[in-house]
Amino acid sequence: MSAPTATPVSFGRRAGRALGDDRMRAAIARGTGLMVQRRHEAIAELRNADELRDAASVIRAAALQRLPELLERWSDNLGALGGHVHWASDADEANAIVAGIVARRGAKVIAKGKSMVSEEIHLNDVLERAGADVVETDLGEFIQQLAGEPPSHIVAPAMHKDRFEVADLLSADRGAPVSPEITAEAAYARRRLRQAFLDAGVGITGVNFAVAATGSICLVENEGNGRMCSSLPPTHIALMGLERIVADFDELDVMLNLLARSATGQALTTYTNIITGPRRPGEVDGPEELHVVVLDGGRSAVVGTRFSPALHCIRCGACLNVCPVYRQVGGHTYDSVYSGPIGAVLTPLLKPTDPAARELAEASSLCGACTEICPVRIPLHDLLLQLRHRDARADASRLRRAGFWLWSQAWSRRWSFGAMVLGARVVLPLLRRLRWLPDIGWLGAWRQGRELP
Amino acid sequence: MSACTPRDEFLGRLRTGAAGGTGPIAPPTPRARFVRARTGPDGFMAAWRALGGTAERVPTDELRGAVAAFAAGRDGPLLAAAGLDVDADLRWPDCGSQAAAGAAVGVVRAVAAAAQTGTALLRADDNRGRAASLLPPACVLVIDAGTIVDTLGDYLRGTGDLPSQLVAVTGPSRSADIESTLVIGVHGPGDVHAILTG
Ligand code: SF4
Repeated sequence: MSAPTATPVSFGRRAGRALGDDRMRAAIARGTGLMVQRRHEAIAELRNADELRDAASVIRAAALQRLPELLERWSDNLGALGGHVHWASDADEANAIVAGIVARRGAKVIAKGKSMVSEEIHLNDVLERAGADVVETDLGEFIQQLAGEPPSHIVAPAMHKDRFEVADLLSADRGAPVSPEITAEAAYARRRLRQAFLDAGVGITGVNFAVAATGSICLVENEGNGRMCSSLPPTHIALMGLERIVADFDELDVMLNLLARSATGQALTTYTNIITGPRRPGEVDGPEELHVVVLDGGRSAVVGTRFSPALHCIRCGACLNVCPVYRQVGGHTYDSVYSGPIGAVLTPLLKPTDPAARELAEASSLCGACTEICPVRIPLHDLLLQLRHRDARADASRLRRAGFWLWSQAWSRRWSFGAMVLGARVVLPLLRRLRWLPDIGWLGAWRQGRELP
Repeated sequence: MSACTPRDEFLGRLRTGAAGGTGPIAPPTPRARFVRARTGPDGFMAAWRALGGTAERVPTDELRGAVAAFAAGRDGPLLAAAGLDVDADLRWPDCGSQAAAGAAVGVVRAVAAAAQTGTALLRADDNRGRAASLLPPACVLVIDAGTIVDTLGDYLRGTGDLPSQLVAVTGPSRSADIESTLVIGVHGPGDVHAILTG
């Protein structure tokens, strides 16, 4: 049986490192705490939140059962209006499609709004290698681009940074000091990015929902950068996972009533863009070309299996905000585009052959807070458990599972950090002395990476 | 050029994978019900103000004056979407993007509004363009009080044809990306003024 050191830097080791980063942990604790509170207040404004969540769950399940039919109808409708739909089996195909459009249009500057799919396929690297200047325009993504880091939260990409770290990054970009006040930082980003919108030959965005009945794509955002990216450049490319479809506006309405409330605690985001084809004759502005790239990327292998509810996710981030593991270690510890409970479920499903991805299914205390808060009622902790069982049968050693059990218990709501310290100080040495636990592997690494109080 | 998978092949994978066999499903689509329902012009204005916008209601023949009063004393030209009957220094799209980006105020007519959430609906066709309501730091949204519905869902269900872009604007541009602290006016207009007429 292979030792649990199969991955170069294990989750446990990364978690150990994160636990030593007090500044990051303070930022995450603050950010997630505020988001949970705002979500709670916004859901409380609904008289029938439970009914809507039940309906949303059924709508998502029904959409997955009818995927071929809905996607076909949606793409027929969008195609009839002059939109181009591209089908990408994997990241390489998706990147090649986007790079091909960028090259054909001769775009030098690309203004990019938030898109998790673009992170999933590492699109920026591909476009930059081809010589394009790719500018992330969402404030949080812009900060992350300057930092050279991926987003650490699906809704608030720079949640782990405080205003002083942001000021340092912006000052370096400007070549002159930017004051560490949040309004000054946002104002700098506004000035700095404005010209990119006007110069961009291509705008790239994500897609929150595609509407089969009308051929529309719906894009929600707060800053206005999504509107800019989809309105000002002569070409708009939108990226979506194949599961992001609803049948009609009735279903979209249910989703919109839950998405922003669950994500940021708003009734609706500031801008709900419903885009139905490129600019029409008689319209005075808007892109000449609209391309939508639909990514499979491992999803079709999940559809119809017992893990299929993982594809119901609407990317609200609520499960991250309540997760005791995420709140302690932050998003980067997951070393995956998708972090938190949904990341722990989705990553191993989309990357079934990657041992590091499979390890993420262990990154949960199974406390159930994620399942409780999920607006579309994905049984997240149950799916995590099923993934562990699947992997346990495949290759995980008993010892490793016992270790993770101890570890996850220490994370749980009932146990405290003190229990983990006790475990590290007392139980682990005891186990080692009894030769039940080798002094290598992720537990040892975790312990070594951590100053015990 | 395109290296994409043919649609039939792509969807075919889903046909074999889908749980399938259950036939068409008609999922329930309940409407949201609210603890505090907001309706009509007063409801809209209350919701809009709660988001950080400003609002006033004027007789239709006083629109010009109301727009001029809002724009008075601002540092930069007033931009209006083509076809809107107000006094303006610049007309979109004739003035071009760079000039529009230098305007202090943009004025557009919303096709409708939703009271519950304080949402103004802008269409790429009827509003005569997308940029006039997006580039300047301040935006005036002119709304006919008779077009106010309860919710965005009500508007969407009632609209037949769609323009290339329909955007539902719910308050000023905002972000909470730094320390989860709200800032107003990040890329879109931070100063949004609704003028209800009629
Ligand atoms: S799994 Fe549920 S709670 Fe988590 S991001 Fe997706 S929709 Fe939100």
